[in-house]
Amino acid sequence: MDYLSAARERLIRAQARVTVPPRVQTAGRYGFYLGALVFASAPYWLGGIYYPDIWTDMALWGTIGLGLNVVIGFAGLLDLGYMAFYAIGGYVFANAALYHGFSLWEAMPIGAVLSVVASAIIGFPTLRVRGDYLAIMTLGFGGIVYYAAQNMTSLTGGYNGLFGWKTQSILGHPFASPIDFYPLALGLTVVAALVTRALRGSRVGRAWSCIKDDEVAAGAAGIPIIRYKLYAYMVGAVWAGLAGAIFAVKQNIVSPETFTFNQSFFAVAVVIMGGMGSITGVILGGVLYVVIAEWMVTYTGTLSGVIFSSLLLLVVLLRPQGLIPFRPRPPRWLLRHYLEDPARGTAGVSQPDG
Amino acid sequence: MSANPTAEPLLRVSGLTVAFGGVVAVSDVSFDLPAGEILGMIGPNGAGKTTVFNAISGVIKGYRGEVRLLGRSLRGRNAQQIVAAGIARTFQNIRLFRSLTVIEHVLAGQHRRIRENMVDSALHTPRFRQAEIDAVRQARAILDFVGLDQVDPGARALSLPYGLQRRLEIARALATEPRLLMLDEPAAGMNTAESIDMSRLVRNVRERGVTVLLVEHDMRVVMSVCDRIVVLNFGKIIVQGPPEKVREDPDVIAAYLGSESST
Amino acid sequence: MSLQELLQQIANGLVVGSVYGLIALGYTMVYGIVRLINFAQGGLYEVGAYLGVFFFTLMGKFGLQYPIPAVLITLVISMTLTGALAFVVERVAYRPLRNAPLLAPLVSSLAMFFLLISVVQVVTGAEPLTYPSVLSPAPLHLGPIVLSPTSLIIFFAAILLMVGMQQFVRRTKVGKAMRATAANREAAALMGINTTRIVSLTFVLGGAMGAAAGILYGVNYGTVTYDMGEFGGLVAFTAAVMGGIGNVPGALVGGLTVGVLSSFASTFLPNQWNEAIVFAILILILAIRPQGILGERVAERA
Ligand SMILES: Nc1ncnc2c1ncn2[C@@H]1O[C@H](COP(=O)(O)OP(=O)(O)OP(=O)(O)O)[C@@H](O)[C@H]1O
Ligand SMILES: [Mg+2]
Repeated sequence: MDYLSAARERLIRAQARVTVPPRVQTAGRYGFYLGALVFASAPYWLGGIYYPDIWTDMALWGTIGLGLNVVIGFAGLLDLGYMAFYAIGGYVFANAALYHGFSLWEAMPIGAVLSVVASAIIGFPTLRVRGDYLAIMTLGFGGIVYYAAQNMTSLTGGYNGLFGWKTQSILGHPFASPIDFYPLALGLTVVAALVTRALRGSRVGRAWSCIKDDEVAAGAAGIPIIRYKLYAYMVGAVWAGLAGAIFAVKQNIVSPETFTFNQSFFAVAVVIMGGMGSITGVILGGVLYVVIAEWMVTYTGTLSGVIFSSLLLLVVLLRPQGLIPFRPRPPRWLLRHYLEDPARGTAGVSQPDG
Repeated sequence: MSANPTAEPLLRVSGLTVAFGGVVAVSDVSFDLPAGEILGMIGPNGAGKTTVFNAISGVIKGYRGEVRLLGRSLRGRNAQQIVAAGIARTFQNIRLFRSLTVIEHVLAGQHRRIRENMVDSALHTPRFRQAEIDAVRQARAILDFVGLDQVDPGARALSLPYGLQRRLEIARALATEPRLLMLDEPAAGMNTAESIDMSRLVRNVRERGVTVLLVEHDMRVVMSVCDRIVVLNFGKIIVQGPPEKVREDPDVIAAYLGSESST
Repeated sequence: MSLQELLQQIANGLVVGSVYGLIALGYTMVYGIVRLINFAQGGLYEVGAYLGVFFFTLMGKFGLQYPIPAVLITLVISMTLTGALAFVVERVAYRPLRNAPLLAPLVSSLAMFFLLISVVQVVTGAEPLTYPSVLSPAPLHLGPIVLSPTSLIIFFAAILLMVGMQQFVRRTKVGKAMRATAANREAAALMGINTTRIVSLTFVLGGAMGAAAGILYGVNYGTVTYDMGEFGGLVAFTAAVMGGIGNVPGALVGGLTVGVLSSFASTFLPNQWNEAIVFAILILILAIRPQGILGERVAERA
């Protein structure tokens, strides 16, 4: 018995030789980048106003997915009222532009800051409770923002919403047609992707993963749980706040129907279908959402709710990690430093590729 | 009348009582743990050993009595504040993070000491890189120390064999740079050779200046490493003293015979 | 506000509250056993209400004129069908995810909820449907309070169902098995209880209670809408938490409390803020006293 397990242990040790994994599938990787580039530039070669409009929606939903991914995918908190922050971004822009003469550039950061403030206000009492209670509380919060949008007429224009601000511009170039918004929305998606990816691979990201996996163990590792949950909430809210402003400009109106529970549900579906934690995954989720919502719905009418909930159910049951699962891997540059410890040299450790 | 801190033991548990509903799991437990000692805590299944750990480490907050670290009460502090105060622990049913790799576990344990703020993290500034490189070097040293030097640092922690998972939990706890390390059955499910390795590791931990509170069913481990032993039965301390005394104590023998010990 | 108005508001609140209590019963029983918020409960409540309209109208067509038997038959059929639906929900959305991390069954039950209300929306074309009015609309005067006979019947029917459920859980053998499973699933299984079947049964009973609530609601207000499940579900969840989730008599207490609170809210505040107020109450309760008024039955294990 003893011999057997000693032999097993030797085998395990031999198998687990420490290496920096070589960069895999380079061809596939470049193929992927090329495909993404072609897809992202599609509105330019497809032309017209329909495609740029759709692609802008995809970019906005990609951003929504990326923001909510921080909350659900990184920190494991189910947020059913996320679109409230999108609403805040939109209404802040509309108010700033209509009544205070602000431009989109000035209003966007204000909207983002107010979204973060709102997320802290709602997060503070809610993040202490169990995960399932949190879901319900965020649902309630989303509901409050929705009804506030309907009823605080002086701030939100009520059912009719707010509209009629003057055309926004960048460097003297006005945002007149959908193709003008597209680079802006896409740019936001790219920034959101880079920043959230960077966070994921840092101390904050590790803390979030720990909390998601096991709160008791995270506490034992010395991670301040409530504070980091609050960070996840606040970081997530930034992106919805920014995207909400662009959405308002694009639509030329902000009104309550865009921020219903249904929308928040779709945002959750985007993250879970795409792949919790995965940057590419949730962007793909956003793209799929727009494709289904735009194209399927023109043929099937009200079936979109049925289609989405069935899809979400199927993914949770059959592929819980989502379409593009996130595989945690420490970055190669870090592993290289792990191996370069001068105290040890490289004895006993193989180190392919430089 | 606060005492001279050097006169205080590192850990002082006095009158600790924990009840779950009507069940009193720990009742009036008091013991001192001076710095530098390895204190064993043994007792039959359900005696309340893990519950004592949970109270000390802040997993359970509603207890009566006092837990003091160098004279300062830990009452009302949460788990993370207790880690900050210098107490780390492992879990009886291994609790590793399912989505983290081996090295990330140690980095998670270093959380409080890695100096990077949100902006550094978001932009991967040079300060971020330097902080991560320093952290990784330290993580390497800790992994070497617990005997995980031959393990792929980029592997998922849950893919490790059981014995190595226990070592990784110890590495995560050590990464918080504790004064006191509490180990909950580190040798559970190990064979003789592995338990001897584990005993050696526990002694090495003490050599590094870390005080150890050890819960263990494996008597070979307990008797070979502990300076003193506390015996719990039905939530109460029945004996405490050096291993030789505890080994011979009729109450201890009765407790184990009466309740079917696992060794 | 005069005393008379005050009493009237309390009476109105108790009537709605009894309906919320019935839905809350579904949340609480399921939560007690599987430690999961079954979001689908709000959807089952809505489906039950719509099935109710359907069978009610059908019976009218076949000339069944006596209101009480018509309501009873409708109740029985709709509760059975919704119970069967809840059985399917458990099979599809809960059972395969029994050992998955908490997020998975939460999301799947959320998806189930959305699927149910979307299907209702598609089938009915998102139009509100009207319940045939069953009883003479002549109001009853009980001292200073005016209530329709329908609301009185609804109140007592809801209370009856809840007390019945309570007695079922407390007295019958199956009820005992349910309580054992709620207290400790592994131990119950070791004692020879078929816990899988108990879980199914709990979902079914919860769904049936939801359907009953839906029908009583429809009969009381005369119309049902495709978004009633969302609001009703949330309010009832608040009720379940208030009463101490997992606590069967608590569901009734919570339901009545929430009913009276929202009735007051609608008197003192402009009507359109009604829902927002209920949501705010919900958040406050969960934040301040997540264990509810009566305390939680189920202890969390570390
Ligand atoms: N969270 C809890 N809720 C209810 N009872 C608990 C809880 N944790 C522990 N207990 C009970 O407290 C008693 C002591 O348990 P504890 O886990 O501390 O024992 P132990 O000495 O660690 O046993 P073992 O050697 O089996 O690990 C047991 O009766 C157990 O059932
Ligand atoms: Mg134990």
